[in-house]
Amino acid sequence: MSQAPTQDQKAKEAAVLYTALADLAVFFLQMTFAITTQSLALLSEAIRNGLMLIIEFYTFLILRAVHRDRLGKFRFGIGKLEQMCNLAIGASLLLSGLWIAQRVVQSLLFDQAAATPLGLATAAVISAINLVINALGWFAMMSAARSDDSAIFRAQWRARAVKLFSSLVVQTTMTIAALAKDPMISAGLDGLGASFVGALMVAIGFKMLWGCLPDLLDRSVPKDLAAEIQATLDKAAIAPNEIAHIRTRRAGKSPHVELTLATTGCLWVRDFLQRAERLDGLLRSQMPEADISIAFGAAEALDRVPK
Amino acid sequence: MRRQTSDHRLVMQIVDFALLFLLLAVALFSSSIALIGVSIAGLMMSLREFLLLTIPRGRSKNGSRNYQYGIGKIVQAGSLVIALSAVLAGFWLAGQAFGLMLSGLSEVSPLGLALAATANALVMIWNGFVAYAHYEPFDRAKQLLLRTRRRRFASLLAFQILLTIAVLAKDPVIAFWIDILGATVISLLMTVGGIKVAWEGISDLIDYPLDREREGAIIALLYREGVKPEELIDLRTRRCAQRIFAELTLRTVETIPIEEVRQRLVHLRRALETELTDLDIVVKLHGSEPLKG
Repeated sequence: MSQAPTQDQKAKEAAVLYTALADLAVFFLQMTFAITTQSLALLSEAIRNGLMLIIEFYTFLILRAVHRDRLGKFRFGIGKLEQMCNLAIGASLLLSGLWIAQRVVQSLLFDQAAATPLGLATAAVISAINLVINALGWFAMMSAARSDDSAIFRAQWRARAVKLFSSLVVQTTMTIAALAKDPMISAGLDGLGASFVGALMVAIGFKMLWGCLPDLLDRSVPKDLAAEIQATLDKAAIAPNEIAHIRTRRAGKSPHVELTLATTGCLWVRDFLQRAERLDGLLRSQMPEADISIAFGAAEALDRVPK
Repeated sequence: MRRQTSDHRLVMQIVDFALLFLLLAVALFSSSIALIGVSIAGLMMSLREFLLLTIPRGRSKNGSRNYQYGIGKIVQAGSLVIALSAVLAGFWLAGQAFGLMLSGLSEVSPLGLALAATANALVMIWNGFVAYAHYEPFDRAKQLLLRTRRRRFASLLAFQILLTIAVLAKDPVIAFWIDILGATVISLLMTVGGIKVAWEGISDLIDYPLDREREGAIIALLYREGVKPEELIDLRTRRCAQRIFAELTLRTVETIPIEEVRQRLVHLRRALETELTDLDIVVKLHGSEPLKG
């Protein structure tokens, strides 16, 4: 059953949607002029923008779904869903970056024709519009940023910073290329801008892929978090023989921690429940965003009961 | 016995890959895009089969220090990559077929076609042998793989009929259109099959729950084993290929001996694991008073 969003939630959704729509308009402009002017730098910037747009719309959809409580079917949380999207975007960025690099090398080796002066000038103007939108978006986010912001907002801010930085570089190279009278310099600067954006895409794409794979593959939590869990167990004065086993797996900001408690020293169910509740409370206070399960250790009993 | 099965499987896979590479070589020589499609699709399927069968099942079940829930998700991620490659290959093949249809330039020679028919017949016979010449496995994962193998045999058989007609007709126009038709059908099969497998892989990787029918079956099993509806507080499920992960929260009276609960849960667990062979179940207990929050 979905719920109606509040006015505040609607306002946040509108802000994200309008920024994404402005980006979408710029993306179409960039694509159109990149194809007509044959500017590699503008094409690479358009591809990168297009991929970033997917993140923006994805975030918007997630935000809408969260506000309307529509992701309840993901009973283990949406951490993996977020990571899957990161994986898709990361892979797209990486592959697109490599494709751009191949195009740059191809144009250098086979001396392909550079964009026309008019084309470069138009590309520079489009790029300037994009730069202004990115700068405005980044300043708006910076002024709205708080120390306790959600991961989604922080990710958006980071993405906006990357956009601003790359569009700044592309704008610089594009303007010089448009103003330069020499076609060699124009082609060189166009290629330089494309190489920069390509390298940035490969680096960010690889980082995103590398960051989300362990989470998607159910890898155990990092050592520092495992140490934190152990410290909590020590604090709760849980003896090693009272724990049947611990299993953990990563899932974005909400790791899963499964602790199976043995019944050692418990006579009544009440004793076990008290122990479990105490441990659950301690772990939740240490890791408020984690998905914690304190299970009953029936498995170890299974080995002792004759079949 | 296990060693013998493993060796037998390895030999089978080596023969499989050898024949598929032979088919690809003949396909490239004959310039038949349909046969190129058949060999690429076959290679993708064999690669997935290799991935699913070579991961030691014991290791995948018990997990390791870094992967305490098993390495099933790594296998699923590999399967996803293969499926996405199949989708891309399907698109590429469709593009090639479309380009050929527009240009009308076919490079398929009568000799190439005859060679293609022979190579395809060889691969088809091998697949028929692998798909039908042994007992039905008990393992559900292997049953699914066998079903895939049988589907592959049926497609190869259909393609063989078309190829034979093309060879016997000795008409370049017929050969051209059969090649285009074959490539189109294969690209469609690759794309649809790839999307289906990719969707399954993605669902597994994002902890998508079991469908209502299967969750309902688990709940029915719990009721059959004596769990009362008021005792069952929650059931969370997720899956990874054939393996089901379930987390059960049961309400219990606090004033009963722990041994009594333990005996009951041990039997419950055993009953569930007998019915659902690839089940990883975790049981949580809750006191008899209502849940907070």
